Amino acid sequence: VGVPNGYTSAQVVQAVPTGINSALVLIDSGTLSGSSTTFSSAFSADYDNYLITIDQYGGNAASPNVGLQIGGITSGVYEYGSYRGQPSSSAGDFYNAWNGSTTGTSILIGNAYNYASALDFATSTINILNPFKSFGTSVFGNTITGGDDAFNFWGRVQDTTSATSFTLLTSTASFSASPSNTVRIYGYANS
Amino acid sequence: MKIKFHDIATGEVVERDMNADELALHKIYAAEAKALDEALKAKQVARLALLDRLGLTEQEAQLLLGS
Repeated sequence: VGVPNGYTSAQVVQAVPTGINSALVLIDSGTLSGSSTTFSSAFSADYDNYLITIDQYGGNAASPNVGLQIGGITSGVYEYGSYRGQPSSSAGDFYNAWNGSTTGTSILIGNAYNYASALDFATSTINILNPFKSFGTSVFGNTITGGDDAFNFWGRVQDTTSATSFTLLTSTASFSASPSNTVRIYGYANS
Repeated sequence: MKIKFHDIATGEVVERDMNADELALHKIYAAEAKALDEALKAKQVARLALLDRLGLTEQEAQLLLGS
């Protein structure tokens, strides 16, 4: 290992000792495409809780919704609420003030309701708590778009099946890069 | 209409056309999204109509309600 400018050799760490863990561990990364992208083998006993980040993505048409499904379940288990703000006008509204039922097909994590704007330059952070455990999963996070929409969401999966996968789906024909479209999946270290 | 699968364990990534069942699910989700949008638009129209009856602008209503 070379010695960087301004350091003596005694100040250079030669190796990271075993047993030192990062609090947030990158599991894998990928991209969104099609109208639905599923990441399988994402959840395991290695971590209880997960962070998903999606950088700079969009939809192929105006005003798409983006949903999250856990464990391949397509209906009957998702409760969610969301609050949507438009920074440009200081207006805000409950987009869905906790539906209190499981009639939806997914947890809504993003919407570009701005009359004509697309979900372009969107970034999302999604926290998924205990998906691999055999009790209900909790979800919360936010999505901010280039169309001056800020979207906070929270949800609950009313299902006790241990899940290993998650799916992101859009109401339009396809996700798009706007411009990077990078999904990163992290695990929160348990200890 | 395409659908994508990314297996983290194997690294395999497959993108293919949706089958009939997957396409049907997509149509249900798209209809759900449209209904949510229309509900919010209707709410916005009702709010503007109410403000008009009260003679208030949106900015004045926000001041009044503290939002």
